[in-house]
Amino acid sequence: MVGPLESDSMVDIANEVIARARRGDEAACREILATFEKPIFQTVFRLVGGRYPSEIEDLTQEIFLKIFRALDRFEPERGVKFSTWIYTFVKNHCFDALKRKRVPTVPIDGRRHADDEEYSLEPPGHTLEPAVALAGDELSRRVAAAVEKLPPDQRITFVLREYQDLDYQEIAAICGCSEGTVKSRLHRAKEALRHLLRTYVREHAPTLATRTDDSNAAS
Amino acid sequence: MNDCERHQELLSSECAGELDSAACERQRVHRLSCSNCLVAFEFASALERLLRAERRSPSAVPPLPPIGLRERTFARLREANPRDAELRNEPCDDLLPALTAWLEGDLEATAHAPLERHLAACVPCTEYVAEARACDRALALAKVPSPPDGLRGRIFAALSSERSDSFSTAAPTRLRRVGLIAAAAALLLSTLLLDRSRSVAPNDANGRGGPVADLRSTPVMQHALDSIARQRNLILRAALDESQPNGVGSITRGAIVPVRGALSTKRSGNAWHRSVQDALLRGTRSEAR
Repeated sequence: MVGPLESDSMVDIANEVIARARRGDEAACREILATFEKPIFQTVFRLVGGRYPSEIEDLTQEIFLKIFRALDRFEPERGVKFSTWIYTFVKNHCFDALKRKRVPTVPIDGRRHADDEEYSLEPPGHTLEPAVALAGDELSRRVAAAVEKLPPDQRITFVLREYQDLDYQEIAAICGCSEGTVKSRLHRAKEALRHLLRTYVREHAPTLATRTDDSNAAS
Repeated sequence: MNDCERHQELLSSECAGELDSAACERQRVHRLSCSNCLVAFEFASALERLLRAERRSPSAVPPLPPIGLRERTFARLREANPRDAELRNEPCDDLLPALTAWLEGDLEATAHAPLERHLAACVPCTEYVAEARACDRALALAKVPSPPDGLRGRIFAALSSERSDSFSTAAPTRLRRVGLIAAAAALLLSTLLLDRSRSVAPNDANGRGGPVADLRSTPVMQHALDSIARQRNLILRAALDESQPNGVGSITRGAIVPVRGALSTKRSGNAWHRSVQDALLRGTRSEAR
């Protein structure tokens, strides 16, 4: 478990608060928002941030609106944790966003042009730099770039397990697969990350050994 | 491809019994004169025997390869090919799943002791474990940004405006804009369909009027159409101003149709087209915020 965010992420919320939020209670809505704002924002960052850093806030907002609209559909009596239910929205919305970004864009006049390949919904001159600026130091940049290279299924599994501290059962429920598949994806993700970060780790092993978690307080 | 490389390529097939007799004989003859390939063959054969034993009794914990065999094999191969950078110490392939599970704390208790005995004697696997732990530490130390100040307020404002249905007072969000555009598209489609049906079955004796006219005249629809037109017009105006169009003409007649027509002329080529698109995006993003 690598999770530097464990203290932030091991959260859930009382059913009573959810019931009040369903009835439109403002304080209950604010409590849900305050509880999950940071974990959801950070999960979105890990899932799409490297590619589309400017969209993290928009996606977070859209996810929360979806969650609040669907509150009536949450059924705690079926034994589903609220956090598990919420992360299902995060996963689906982020995956949809990534899929949308891969769709070739069509010019406004509806015709394709010779240089259509250059058209993109990404901002002009888009690079990893904005995400890098968000991520902070060199190590964080390397990790962000490495996580970004994982296939989506492995990425969501790795992020939920290692940064949000969900157990295999919860991740399986979110991803709609078996616990065995979750373990397998997690192992493959870790293998891939170790391979991607190997050179950096070899070069900076002494520094890494002396760094403390205090420096990890994300700003 | 020299003889050693050919031997190496066919080795796994040979151990699996997939080679014909002539190829097996060529492999055997080569090993008579090449000690490195002989070592590699012995290792691959031992591994194949272990795998077969495991397949026969899947419930039993399979025995591990002899300690140091892999390392000795690679040492011999490095002696034979000192310039080959690929022949580095690597962890034992067949143990990688067990090593990974062990690092994750998922390895069955019965498999701990044999694996730890192996680790005590296998330098590549020990180095692999140390490196994996250093990587895990690097992953743990990586920072993740916190939400920016004000995000919670913006989300709550959007939620509040949505719940109170007060479109005009709330800051427009991208989500709402998409919804409005979808509503406009649905309205346009229904207009076309109903207009067509009206031509077949007019509402009155003179063929005038009908359900669409009634629908458009309702205050709610008027408000929605005005809102859509206003928002899109503002964005498109800003985009066209910024992109310095050449002779695009007025866009005062409406929000979308004139611009679509202007873009289709491609008067200034694709560079201008792209600049309009970029400006539109910037306008869309800033409006969404």
